Amino acid sequence: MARKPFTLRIVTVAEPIFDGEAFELHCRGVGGEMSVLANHEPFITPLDPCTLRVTTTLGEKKEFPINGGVLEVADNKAVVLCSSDKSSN
Amino acid sequence: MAGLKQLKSKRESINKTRKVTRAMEAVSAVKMRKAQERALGGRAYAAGALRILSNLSGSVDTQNHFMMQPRTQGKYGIIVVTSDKGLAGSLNSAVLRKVDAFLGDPKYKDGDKVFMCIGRRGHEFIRSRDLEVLSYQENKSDSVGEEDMREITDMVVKMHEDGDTRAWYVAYTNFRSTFEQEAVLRRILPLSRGALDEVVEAIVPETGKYSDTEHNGRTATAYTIEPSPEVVLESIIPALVNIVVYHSLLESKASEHSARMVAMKNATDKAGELSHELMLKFNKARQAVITREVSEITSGIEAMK
Repeated sequence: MARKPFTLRIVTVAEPIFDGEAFELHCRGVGGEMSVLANHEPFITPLDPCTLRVTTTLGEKKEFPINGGVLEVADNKAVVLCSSDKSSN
Repeated sequence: MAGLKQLKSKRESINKTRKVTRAMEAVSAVKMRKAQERALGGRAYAAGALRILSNLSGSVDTQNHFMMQPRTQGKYGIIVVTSDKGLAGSLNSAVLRKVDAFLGDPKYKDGDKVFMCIGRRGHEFIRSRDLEVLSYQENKSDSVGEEDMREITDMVVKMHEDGDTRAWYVAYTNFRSTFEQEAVLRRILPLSRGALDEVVEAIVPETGKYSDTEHNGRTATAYTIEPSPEVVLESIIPALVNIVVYHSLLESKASEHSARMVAMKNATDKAGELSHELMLKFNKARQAVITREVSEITSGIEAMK
């Protein structure tokens, strides 16, 4: 089955670290682990310090360690506002 | 002959100064470009955070949050962002004039004032007036991260939570263009939508890479907010304060470098002018000496005939 993409933007206070199309975003919210797929319902939640796992439309898997943040999903568009965890880079 | 020598050495020293100011101008130009890029990079975050805040305000009464309510008791806190070094025209004095106006304003007479200083110039100014300085750090590195601001933000948020302060302000230089910088004094706490919109307006560019982020979020979407709007608000308000402080620092950086670049360019131009004038003077003086010598010799020959 063809997977549907959604627009994902991961931004830190200093700069955007990811901006593009993705199939899946895996993260840990305050309520537990979760994945965001295309056409997720409009949603806002704070995120715990964790590693964001992104599957891009090119099939790449990318990881972004973060130090907590906020996730917002609306109109097939996800925005993660986070402070990146520099220590693990 | 002494006059000639003096003119020559003066001109040489001016030329040396000119080389120095020209080099400083070039360095500042590069630094300014970098600082501008950094200031721009943070805009996506600021716009996103504000959008979430405005979405939240649909489902929770943000005006009732204690960080947003005006108070009548407590101290005034001011964060003063200046540069460490001079040679940047009226950059720092403009900021300090703003602070001075604030101190003299009868509206704010009824509360003590406490200060946090970033940059040496501001610190010296505040200290010379025997006012309370809570924290001071030098404004040295160009690559300050948002993490470095945490300390200040945490302290500001904590003092406000504890009820020590009634309001927080930040005085800094807003970067408008290479030739135009504007000293501003902006309120950060209690937060208000109007003030936040103002900040984002200053941050979000009219066109370009991040300009779309602000508009497409204005649709009224019914969000599921987990675990509760209050918790999200709780986590986003310190982030907003952090952004404002961090951004005022970035803007100040960009302003500092562009102000210095312009100041150095003026200095270079003036040095060139002076050097040219001195050259004309030198040539005239040299010609006068030659003429005098020639006339001495010819009159000597005349006398021997």
